Amino acid sequence: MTAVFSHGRLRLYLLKLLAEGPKHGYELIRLLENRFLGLYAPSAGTIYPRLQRMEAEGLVNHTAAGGRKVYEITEAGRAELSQRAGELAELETEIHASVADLTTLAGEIEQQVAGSVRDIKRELREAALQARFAGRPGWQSGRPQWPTPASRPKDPPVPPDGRDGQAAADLERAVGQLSGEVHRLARQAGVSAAELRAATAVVSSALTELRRLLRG
Amino acid sequence: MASWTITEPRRIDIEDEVDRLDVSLIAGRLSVVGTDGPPRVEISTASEFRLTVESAGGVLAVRHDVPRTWPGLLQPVWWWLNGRRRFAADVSIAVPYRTPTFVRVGSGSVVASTVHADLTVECASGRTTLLGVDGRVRATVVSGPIEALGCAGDISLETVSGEITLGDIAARRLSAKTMSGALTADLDNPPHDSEINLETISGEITIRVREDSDLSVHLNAAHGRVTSAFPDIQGRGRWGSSVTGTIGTGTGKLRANAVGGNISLLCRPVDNDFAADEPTAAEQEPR
Repeated sequence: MTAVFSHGRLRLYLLKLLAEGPKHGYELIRLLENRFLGLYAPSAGTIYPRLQRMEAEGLVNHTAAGGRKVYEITEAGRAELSQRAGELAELETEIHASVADLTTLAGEIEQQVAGSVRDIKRELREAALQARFAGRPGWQSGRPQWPTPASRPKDPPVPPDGRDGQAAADLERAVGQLSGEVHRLARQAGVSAAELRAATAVVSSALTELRRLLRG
Repeated sequence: MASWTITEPRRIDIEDEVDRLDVSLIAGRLSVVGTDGPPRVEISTASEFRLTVESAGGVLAVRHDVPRTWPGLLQPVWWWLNGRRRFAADVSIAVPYRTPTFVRVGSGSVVASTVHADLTVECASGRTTLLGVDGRVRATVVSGPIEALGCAGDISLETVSGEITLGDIAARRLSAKTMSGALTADLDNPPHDSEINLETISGEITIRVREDSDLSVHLNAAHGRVTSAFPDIQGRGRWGSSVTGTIGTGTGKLRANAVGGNISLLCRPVDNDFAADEPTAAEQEPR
């Protein structure tokens, strides 16, 4: 099924969906899923970077609404869409063909769900084991800390005792430098109240960012 | 009004409009798929006993014709001799997305995909698979697992003996019950006023919710431990414990009840609108 989407066709299809109206990432995933009768449900990890790339190329742009990014097609995007109209028609036919044989489709659906469900079960079982042992005080003292399930999978698990001392010291020094510098600048003559308020906003947003970064 | 009697594999295109699907099979494999195309029925394996496909008054009905069985006490013997073997049929049906569907299968597997309307599945023995369904979903299974992926709406699943596994569920109301079997639920993006109720008599419950969910949580393991990855909700790892707590503002409800088994509440990190999710090498397609 996924063979239908190769060589940038997913991108073309995303453009087509966005041409029908602005949508957020989650909506796009649901629409793709419906189009493929649930058989092709791309993950957020597939869709989102692709949208970002398309945005960088100027084919779409986004507006933040209610905490979610809503994507919209641009003129350049429409131009590409009309330029590749033939390809799009071909893709549509293929999609139709791929769902034409219901019996095979049913088999595929069953297999795909069984596979995904197996993966989910395995993932959750491992996470549950980790949570169980991490929450048990006896385990923590003698053994290195298990990575908490909350940490993003792409972050390398950092055991607290094996932390890179150099990096931590660097960070502390940078923080000290920052606060010193800010104090010095703020005490300077000729700084208006509005400027100070703007500086406060910058610091608090940096703090939010750091919280997000360091808490994982 | 059109009616077909099926004795060999065939494919039927339904010309009438279908606004309700009613399937009743004694044994076999059944799949119902919501599409934007015209409704059709495909029978790839016909059973020895006749199968009737009927379209009348907007109702598409597919059912087994049951011949006269032996009388009285001999009836179970007849079913034992004939049941599964001679009734097994392989039926696939495509209907418009918004077709309310009622499915009853005695023994065999049921697959339902992208049905965005009321869906009722009754299955005595067999595997039930739901994919991308959205609406009021009721599934009752006596013996067999239920697997659901990417579903939303109002979902109620029940099995006596079998596992229930749910992935990417964004349902407003979810109720899953099993007597004997594990219950695994990976919940995605539950709405703020969601109501989630999971119950098992003998089996483990594993739940994963997003870390930004708003849920008031009540976990009760009569003979088991409760573990949680949320710092505010801690089971202290004791045997036979009941834990209450709140995630976020606590507007939704999550209740899990296990009589003999552990409960684990896990936390799914949220990427800011997916931003942290990098594509893996396998997912990256050439452009």
